[in-house]
Amino acid sequence: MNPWLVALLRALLILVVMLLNGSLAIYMVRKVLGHAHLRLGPTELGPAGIAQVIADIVKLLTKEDRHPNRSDRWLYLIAPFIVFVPSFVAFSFIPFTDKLVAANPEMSLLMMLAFLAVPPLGIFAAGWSSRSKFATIGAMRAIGGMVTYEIPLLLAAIPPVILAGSANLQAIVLAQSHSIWYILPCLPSFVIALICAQMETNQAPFDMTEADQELVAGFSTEYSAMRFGFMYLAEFAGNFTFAALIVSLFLGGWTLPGISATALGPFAVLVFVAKCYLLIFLFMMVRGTYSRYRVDHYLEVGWKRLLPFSLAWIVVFAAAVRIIAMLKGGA
Amino acid sequence: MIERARIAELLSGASVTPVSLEDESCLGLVLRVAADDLLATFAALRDSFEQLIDLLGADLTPRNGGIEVTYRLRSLQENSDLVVKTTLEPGAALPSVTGFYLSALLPEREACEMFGLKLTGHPNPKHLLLTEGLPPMLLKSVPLRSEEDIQAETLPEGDPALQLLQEFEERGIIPPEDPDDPLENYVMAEWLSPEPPPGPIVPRNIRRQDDDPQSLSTNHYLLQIGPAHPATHGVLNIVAEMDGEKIVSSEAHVGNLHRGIEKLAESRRYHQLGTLVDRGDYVGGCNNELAVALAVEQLAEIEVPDRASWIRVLMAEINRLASHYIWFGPTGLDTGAMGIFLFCLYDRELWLDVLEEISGQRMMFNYIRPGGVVADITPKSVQMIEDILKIADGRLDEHYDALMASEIFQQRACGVGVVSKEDALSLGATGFVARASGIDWDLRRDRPYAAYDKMDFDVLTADSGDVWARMFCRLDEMRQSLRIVRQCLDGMPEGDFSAKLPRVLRVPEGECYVPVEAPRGEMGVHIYSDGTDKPYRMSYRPPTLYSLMISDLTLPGHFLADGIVSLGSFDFCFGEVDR
Amino acid sequence: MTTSLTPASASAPKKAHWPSGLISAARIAAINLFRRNITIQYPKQRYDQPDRSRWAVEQVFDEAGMHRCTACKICEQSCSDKCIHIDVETREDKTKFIHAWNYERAACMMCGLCVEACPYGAIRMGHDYELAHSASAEKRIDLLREVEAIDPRKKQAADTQEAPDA
Repeated sequence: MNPWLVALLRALLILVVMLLNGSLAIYMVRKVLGHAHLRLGPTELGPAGIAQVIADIVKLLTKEDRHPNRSDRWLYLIAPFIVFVPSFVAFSFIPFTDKLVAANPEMSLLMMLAFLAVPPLGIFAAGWSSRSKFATIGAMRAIGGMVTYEIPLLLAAIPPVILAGSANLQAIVLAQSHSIWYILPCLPSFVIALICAQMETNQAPFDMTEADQELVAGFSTEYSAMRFGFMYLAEFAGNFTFAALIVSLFLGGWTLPGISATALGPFAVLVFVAKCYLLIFLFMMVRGTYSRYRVDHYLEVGWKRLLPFSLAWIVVFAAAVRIIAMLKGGA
Repeated sequence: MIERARIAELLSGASVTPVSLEDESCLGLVLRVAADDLLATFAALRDSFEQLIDLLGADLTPRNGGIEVTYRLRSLQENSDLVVKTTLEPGAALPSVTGFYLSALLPEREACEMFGLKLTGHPNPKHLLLTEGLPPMLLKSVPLRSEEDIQAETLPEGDPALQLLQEFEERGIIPPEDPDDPLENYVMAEWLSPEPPPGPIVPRNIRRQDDDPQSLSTNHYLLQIGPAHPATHGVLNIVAEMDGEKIVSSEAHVGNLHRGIEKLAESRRYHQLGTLVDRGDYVGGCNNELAVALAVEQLAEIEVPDRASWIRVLMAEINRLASHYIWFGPTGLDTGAMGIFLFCLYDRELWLDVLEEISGQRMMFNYIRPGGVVADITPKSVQMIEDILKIADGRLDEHYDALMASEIFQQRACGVGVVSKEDALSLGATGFVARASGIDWDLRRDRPYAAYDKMDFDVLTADSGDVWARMFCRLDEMRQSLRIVRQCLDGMPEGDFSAKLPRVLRVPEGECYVPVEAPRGEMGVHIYSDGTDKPYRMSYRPPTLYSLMISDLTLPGHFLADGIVSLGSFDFCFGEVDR
Repeated sequence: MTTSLTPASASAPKKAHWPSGLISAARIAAINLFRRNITIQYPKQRYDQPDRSRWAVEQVFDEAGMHRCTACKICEQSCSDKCIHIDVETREDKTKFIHAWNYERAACMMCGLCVEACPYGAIRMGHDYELAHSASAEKRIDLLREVEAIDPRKKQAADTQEAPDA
C-alpha cells in the first residue's frame, strides 16, 4: 500500500483513539468526582449517563463561536490548535502493544516529551490573545508552572532509560518484561513523574492556570464552542498521554510479569489501557481532594525542590547502577 | 460599667457641654451633644471606648427633631456601651469621625446618603448602597413607590442616564472599540453622575504607585473581581489595582443587593419584621429574627416563657451550625478542594431537615416572633437532632482532616489576611473576626440573652488573626454549638412556647438596641417605636459590613489567590451588607 | 503554625509534619469514595416533606367540596407583600359574594402569616413546591371564583350543632 496512505490511516486511527479516550476520560472524571463527593455524576442520558459526553460534544459543536472584539484575531483562532495538535502527535508514540504503535522512531521517548512541551505555549497563546485580564493572569501562571514542571518530568524519565539502555518507549517496555517493573528501583522518579503529570494536565493541586474561584476559567475564559472543546479535549487526552507515558516507563506498559507477549495476545491492549486508567483514576482522586497550590508555592516546589532532588537522584541512581554492575561483573 | 460621672468628667476635661447625659430606659446611658461638639466629644471618649459598634441615622423631622445620628461606643474592658446622639438639620454637614474610629468608614457613607446629609472630612464620601442621583431613601418625606409608579416614570430630557441609554441603543450595545475612550474605564457608580469626568475614571480609593526607578516596573492594571464571579460569595464587586498577581489597592463596591429592608420595615407590623430581617443574613435567619423579637419584647415589656427561650437558643444554634457549614465548604472550595464543599453541604442538609421539621422552611424560617416562637418543637425533630448529634462531632473531625490538616491548605491559609488586634478594634470587628485577632468577646457569654446564661460553652480566641485562626475559631464554634444543642435537648423546660399577644401589637414609644451573636458577628437591631403598630425606624447593624471594611484595608499587598481566600474567610453575606 | 489558642481546647490544631496532612486528606477522600451517595434523584425520587412545610397557599375544601372562606379579609391585611386580593361584593342583607380570591403566587414569600391569621382555617400552606410556570398568566391565579362567602354566623351555628355528635 502507498506509505502515505498508511501514514494517513494511522493518523486517523490515532485521532479516533485519542478522541475516544478523551471522551471516556471526561465521563470518568465526572463519575469519579461525583462518587468521591457523595453524589452521582451524570445519570440521565444513556445507561449510567454515558451519553452525556455525546450530548456535551454535540452542544459544543452547535454553539455560537464568538470571539472578543479586541482579541488578537489570528493567534486567538489558532491557539487551540497549538494546544491540540502536539498532544495528538505525542499520542502517536504510545506503545499499546508490541505491534500496536503508530510511530516508533529510535528516540520515541524524547520525541514524545518534546511534543508535550508545546501545549503550554498554546495555553499561553490562548490566554494572551484573549486580551482579557483574567485570561492573561491564567496565561502567565501557565507559562510559569507548566514550563517549570517539564524539566523534572524529563529528569524523572532518565532512570528508566539508564536501566533499559534505550530511549525508545517500546524498548523500555520490553526491558521491563525481562526484569522487573521499573517502579520498584526508580520509585522517586515515579512519584516525581506523577506530580509533573498532575501539573501538566492542569489538575489540582496544580490548577492555578484555570482556577475557577479566582479566574473564572483562566486562559479559556473567552473561548466558546468547539475551540473551547478542543482545548478541553486536549486536556483530557493529555491525561491519558501522561498516564500512558508513566505506565510505559514505570509500570511495564502492556506486559504482565511472568506472562510472555505471545501468551497475552490481544489482551495486551486491555492490560495497557487498564493500567493507564488506574493512573487516571489516581489523578482524578487527587484532583478532587486537595487544595490548590499558590503560584509562588508551586514554582518554589518545582524549582527549589523537585529539580535539585531529581538531579541528585539521577546521580545517585546512576552511581548505584554502575556499582551493582561492577559488583556483579566482579563476583 | 463606665459611670455617668466618669463620662461627665471626660467631657468637661475636653470643655464640651453636652445637651444631655441621661439614662434612657431601654438604651442605657445616652449622651446628646451638638453637632459642632461631635469631634471634640469623640476625642475625649476615644481612649475609654475601644470600638464604635453602630452608626445610624433617623429622620425625626415629623417630630420636629431634625435628623438624629446615633453612635454606639463600646468599652470591651468594662463591658459597657455609650450611645452618643447628635441632631442635624436636613441637608446639613456631618463631620466624619473616621479619624477616631475607622469603623465609621462605610456606615457614615450610608447614613449620609440615606438621610441627605453632607459628609465632611471623610476619605471617600461616595454613596454606598444607592447610585448617585437617587433621593435620600430613608427620609420620611421620600415615599416608597409602587411598581406602577416606577413603570410610569420617564426620565427627563437631558438626563445623563437617558443620553447614555440612547447612545447604547444607537451602537447596538457593542462596547466602544477605542481603548482610550473614557467609557471603558467607568465604574458603575460613576455612570449616572451629573458631569462625566474627563479621562479614564479611577475610583477614588485607588492610588497610583510611583514607579520606583530602581525596580523593574510594570504597568498596573484594573481588575474587577465580581460582581458575577464564582468566588465573591454574593454580589461583591472589588475594583482592584493589580501589579501582576499582587493587589496594590482595592475598593469594594456594594449595594447590588439593596432592597430597602430598613425602609420597608417602617410599613410592616412588628410580627412581620422577622420576614424582613430573615432576608438580611439569609443563612442565619433565626439569629436575626431573635434580635428583632428581643428588641420588640424589650420595648413592649413582654415576658417570654422559659420554654420559648430554650427553643430559641436551640434554633439559633442549629442555624449557626448550618451557617458555618455553608461557609466552611465554600472556603475550602475557594482554595480548590472540591470534596470538602460537598461533605459540608451534606451535614448542612441534615440540619436543614431539622429546621424544616420545626419551622416549615429550610431558609426563611419566620419562626421566632415577639413573645416566643410560632409552634412547639416536634418529637420527630428531637429524634432527628439526637441522630445527628451521634455523628456530628466525628464528622467535624473528618472535615478538619479533609481540609485544614493538609499542608497545602495550611500554606494557603496561615499568615494570609492577617488582621491585627488594633485594626480589629478600630474597625469595629465583632464575633469570630475579633476573636481570631485576640479580642475575647462573645455576646452569648458577656451579654447573655435568651437562655444562654444557662448554657455551658467555651469561647476560643486566637492571636494570629489570619485565615487559619478565623477558620479554627469557627470550627470550634461549631463544636461548642453541638454542646449547646445537646444541653438544650437535655434541659428543655416544660411550658408555653409563646406568650399571649394581641393580634395587632402596639408597642409604646421608645427606642432600644439589642445585639445578638449571629454567626458572622454581632448583629444588632435598633428600633425606634412611636406607639403605633409599626416601627418608626428599624436599623439593622450588619456584622459583615464591618468585616468588609477590614478586608478592604487588609487586601492590598496580597496575591490575587490569597485575596480570594481572605475574602472567603470573612464570610460575607451580602443580604446584610446591602440590606 | 504560630497560632496560640485560648482556652486550649481538646481540639487544638495538630502540627502537620509533611506529609501527614496530605495523608489524612487522602484518607478522608478514600472513606467518602465508598460511602453511599446522598443524592435524591428528582424527579424520579422526591423527599418526604414535614407537615409544617410551607409552600404556596391553598384553599381548604371539606369532603363536600365546600370552601370555608368568609371573606373577612384578615389574610389580605396580614400579608406583608400584599399578595392576596379578595374581590368581594357585600349585598344589602350583609351576605358576601366572592368574585375572585386572587393570589399572586409568584410574589408570595410563603411566610405563612396569612394562614396563621385566618380565624376560620380556610387556607393552609400547601406542600406543592413545583410551582414553575411558563405562562405569565399563571403568576397570579384565582383560588376561588364566583362563590358565596361562608356566613360566619351560620358557620358558628353549624359548628355548635355538630358538637353534640362529635
